[in-house]
Amino acid sequence: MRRRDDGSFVEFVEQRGSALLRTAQLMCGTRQDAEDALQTALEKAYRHWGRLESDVDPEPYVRRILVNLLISRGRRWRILREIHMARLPEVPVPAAHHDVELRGTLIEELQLLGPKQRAVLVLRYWEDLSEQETAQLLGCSVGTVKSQASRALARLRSRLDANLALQRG
Amino acid sequence: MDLEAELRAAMAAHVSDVDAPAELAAAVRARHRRRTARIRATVATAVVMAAGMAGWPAYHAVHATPAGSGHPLLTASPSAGPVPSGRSHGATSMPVPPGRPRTSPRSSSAVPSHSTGPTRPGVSWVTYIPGRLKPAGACHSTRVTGFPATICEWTGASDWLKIQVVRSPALLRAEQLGLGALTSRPTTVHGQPALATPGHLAWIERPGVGILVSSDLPLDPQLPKIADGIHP
Repeated sequence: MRRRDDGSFVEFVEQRGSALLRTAQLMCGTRQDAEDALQTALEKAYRHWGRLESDVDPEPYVRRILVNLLISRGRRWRILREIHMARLPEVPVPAAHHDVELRGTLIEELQLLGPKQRAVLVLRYWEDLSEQETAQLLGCSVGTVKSQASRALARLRSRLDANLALQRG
Repeated sequence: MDLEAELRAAMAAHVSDVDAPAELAAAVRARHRRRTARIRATVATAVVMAAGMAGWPAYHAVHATPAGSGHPLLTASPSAGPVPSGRSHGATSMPVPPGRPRTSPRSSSAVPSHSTGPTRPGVSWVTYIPGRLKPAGACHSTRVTGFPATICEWTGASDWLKIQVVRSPALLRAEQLGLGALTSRPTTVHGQPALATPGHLAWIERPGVGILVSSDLPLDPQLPKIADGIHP
């Protein structure tokens, strides 16, 4: 049984680095945070790279590290935000420009979801993973994936409707 | 509106221009090297600290006693603990009359060769005793100002000298040896702060070990020289 070497790590990063970085950016919002999270996740994978079998695709392993890391960080940052903000704005405020694009609004609303709901949506609709694969990657049941996706979409829809209504009105 | 399709399109548009930097793999490996170095440094520091903490009691046990394993005072000291039978000669050999050959090679080597006056060969940590004084029996243990102490005495035709070595972890200042700070004058012995009154000289040789030298008045001028020759 052959093990992976240092050269295969460089090759993997060159081939799949951009895809992983996009997933990271969709999950955490900013480019800097995404790059830092990706480097951290790849470093964790690099520690055990020699133990991975050469005939097995390492991407699910790396992606799992990345997603779990981003969910953990998202939870931590959410707690910090809740500590630092005196109070949340309770009434939605219309954007300064009423021609906010729907896709831009969707991305903004995506970042307002909880880390796990955001992860489910990114894995399901960006990575095109099945519910089974998503559940396996997140370490939860298929039912949890379904419910999280359903709630996240409902939340997005309601916020989007409110936003569009504000723009119209 | 098909929200799922819109979401897919929004995600694709949002990250369309995102590409991993070319040096990502090198950056990851550099981060790994930094982490490894940091862990090694931490482990090395922990090992050094653990070794130091483990070795300190042994070092302290060897160096904290005033007279070393071959000294007679050590065996007479209340803090010295049980004495192995092979070394029990020290308990009965305190102050040995001048001229009497030593039984312990370590004791004989402990007498400094630079001593100018008559010495007490049997008490090797005392390097100067005026020649007219003779040992007044063996050193004995007692308490001085509440602390355990070892007392050695010398007498002459009309003089007497008493050296008290007091040991206690609580012993930090010369005032604790019984000389009043108001009636005594400050001086130094071996570079350490000392207190002197007519016929008495007291100082802390090191934390936990204090020395009180007493004599009758005719010997008082020689007390600094006697004190200077005491090396417990």
